[in-house]
Amino acid sequence: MAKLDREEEWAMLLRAADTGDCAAYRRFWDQVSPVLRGIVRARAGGLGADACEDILQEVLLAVHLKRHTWQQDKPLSPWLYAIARHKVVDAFRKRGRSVQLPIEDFAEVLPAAPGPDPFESHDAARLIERLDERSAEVLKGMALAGEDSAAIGRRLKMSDGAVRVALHRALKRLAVLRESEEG
Amino acid sequence: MKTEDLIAAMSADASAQPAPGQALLPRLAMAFGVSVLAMLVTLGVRPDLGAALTVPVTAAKWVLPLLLAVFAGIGALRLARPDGRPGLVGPGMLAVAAVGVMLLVRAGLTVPPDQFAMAVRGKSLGVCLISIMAFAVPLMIALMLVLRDGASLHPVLSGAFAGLCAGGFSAFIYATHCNEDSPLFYMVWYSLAILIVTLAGALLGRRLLRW
Repeated sequence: MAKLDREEEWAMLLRAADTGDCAAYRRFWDQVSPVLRGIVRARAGGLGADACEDILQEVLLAVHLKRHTWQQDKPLSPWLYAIARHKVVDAFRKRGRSVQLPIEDFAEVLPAAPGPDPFESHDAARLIERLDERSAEVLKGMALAGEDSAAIGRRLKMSDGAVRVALHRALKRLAVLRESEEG
Repeated sequence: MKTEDLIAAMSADASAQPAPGQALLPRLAMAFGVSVLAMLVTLGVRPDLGAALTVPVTAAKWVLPLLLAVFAGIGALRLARPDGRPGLVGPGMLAVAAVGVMLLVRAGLTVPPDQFAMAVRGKSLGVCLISIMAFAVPLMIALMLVLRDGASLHPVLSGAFAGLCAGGFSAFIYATHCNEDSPLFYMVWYSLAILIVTLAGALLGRRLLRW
């Protein structure tokens, strides 16, 4: 029963995110990311803790950028799990190892606390520098300095809409760069 | 970047994203229009189109590719979701192929043996192959653009579905010009052209539909 309630709450939060509710989206991530981290650790633990955190970030970015492929009237877990599984398999493939993942659901996965930051120091900085200047500024402000979009808009003399567009573009670009980085 | 920081950035990017299916119809319709226009300008419509459509065996050269295109399009769209399944699309396409093969065999049995090779070769197979491949290009572009927005777990299969869809619609368009009405001709050469476009789609899918 608890699992159903949890799933229903996640779905509700993600639907709210689609109406532009950033606070609901934040709650969605706070609830879902520890569970996804647990899944990634359970499947890819052998690759090491920082690799797991790295894969988790790819899963999170994919969930974010592909969230429109979830049909809002369908259960959320199979969709989330399919993305997590895809990214874990991909990570093994990129590292030249094959993996067989049993098809399971979230039932027995325990949420996991954050691990070491994968590429806090060098990689992220390098990737962000490959974004165009505005996107990089917006992403840095939002992610690293914790500014809100209004503050960033004032600082960069951009409208609120333009900040949002730049942020979305930056995240998309980041996913592409990460994908090609490790190829 | 810390996972926390990534989450902070993503949370600020909450907004509705259009579902992959929403963009498909308008873009496909536009590409279809471009291909029809290209056909009209370069080849033109056969003069006896109305009469040809009333003969069932001839009409099949529009109906079969069209059905194939629709099934393949639905399949591509379903696979664009990570939790999607192609469902009955495969059996549907097999049924279309079976009808085509039946028409082919029946035509093969009724044509006199000394005219068989000529009936297959026809008079326009070069134009046929090139045109179907060429008219498929705008459709393929439209489909790939839409599918790139999706999240297929099977990029090669999704690409093949896209190619089959583009090739099917393209054959449908070309049929409006083509006056070769024997299944011995169109089942062989339309199928070959569609197959080539399907393979191209699979190759493109492998490159373009990864995420």
